[in-house]
Amino acid sequence: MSHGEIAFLGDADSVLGFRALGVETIVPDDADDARKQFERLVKQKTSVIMITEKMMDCLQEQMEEVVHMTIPAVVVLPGITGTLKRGEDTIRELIIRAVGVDLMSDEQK
Amino acid sequence: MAIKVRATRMELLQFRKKVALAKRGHKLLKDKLDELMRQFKILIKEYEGARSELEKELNIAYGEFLFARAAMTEPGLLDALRYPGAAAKVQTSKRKIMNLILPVFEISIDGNVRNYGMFDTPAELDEALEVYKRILPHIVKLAEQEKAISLLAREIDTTRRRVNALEYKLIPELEEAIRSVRLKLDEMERGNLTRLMKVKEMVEEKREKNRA
Repeated sequence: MSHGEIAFLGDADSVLGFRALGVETIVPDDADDARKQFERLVKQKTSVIMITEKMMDCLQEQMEEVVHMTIPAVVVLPGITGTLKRGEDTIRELIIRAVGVDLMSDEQK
Repeated sequence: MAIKVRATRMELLQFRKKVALAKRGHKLLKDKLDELMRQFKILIKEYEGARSELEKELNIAYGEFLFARAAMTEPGLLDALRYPGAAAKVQTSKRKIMNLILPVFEISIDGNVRNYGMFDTPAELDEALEVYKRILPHIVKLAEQEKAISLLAREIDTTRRRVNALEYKLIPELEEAIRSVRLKLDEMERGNLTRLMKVKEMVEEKREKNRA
């Protein structure tokens, strides 16, 4: 049992509102900065890292590294500009790779 | 068939032991895979639709926030949000599925979200923050579920690889090796037998001659 923090990595408009809730909000300057910040969060053992869909592209490698760890849990959220369904697609892909069939869409029908 | 063998009884015994071990391991792994699958299905059932619902709500919150932003000046908004009045903390505990350690998050938001003056902030900001506060626990829950799903998916993948490697590669190869050793031993046995018969014949012939 341990205490942890929540962090949100993304563009200013999406992130700002969560600051009032005590979520650590980070607006990276560029892709390099985003990577650095992400690694810092991982080192600090942040429990939940939220990132916007746009951030996903430059953080692909870093996310791959933490997949097998218990903490942090990375969750991809749509930015303020609307959803591209990226987050759902990654999970769906994982499921397909593991099981061989798309369990989610099968049950939705 | 890749395993080279010396055709001896020793080897045969060793291979038999290996096959027995491989079969036991195979059965265990297969059981593990079944259980993982079962858990995976439960997780997915829980997870289903959670994300799309959350994304919908988040969109509403974003909309509210945009209104608030539009109604305020940029520095004013930053000022209002500079010092968070609430502190979102996550209690992390662990839960185990088979050999996997999954995180369980429990979120608590202490303090007042509205840590700014009533005077120079629009009502939209209050509402937006209220919605944010409501959905943050859902986001954390989603993070927990997605983590569990991705960890489990990985484990299923590797376990299945192992099961298949045992089932379609190692066990057939070992059995093939056993077969070839047995065939060779049998052949040697037969060769030996005919040789003995031949020798016996020769000995008897000699004895006959001596007697005559």
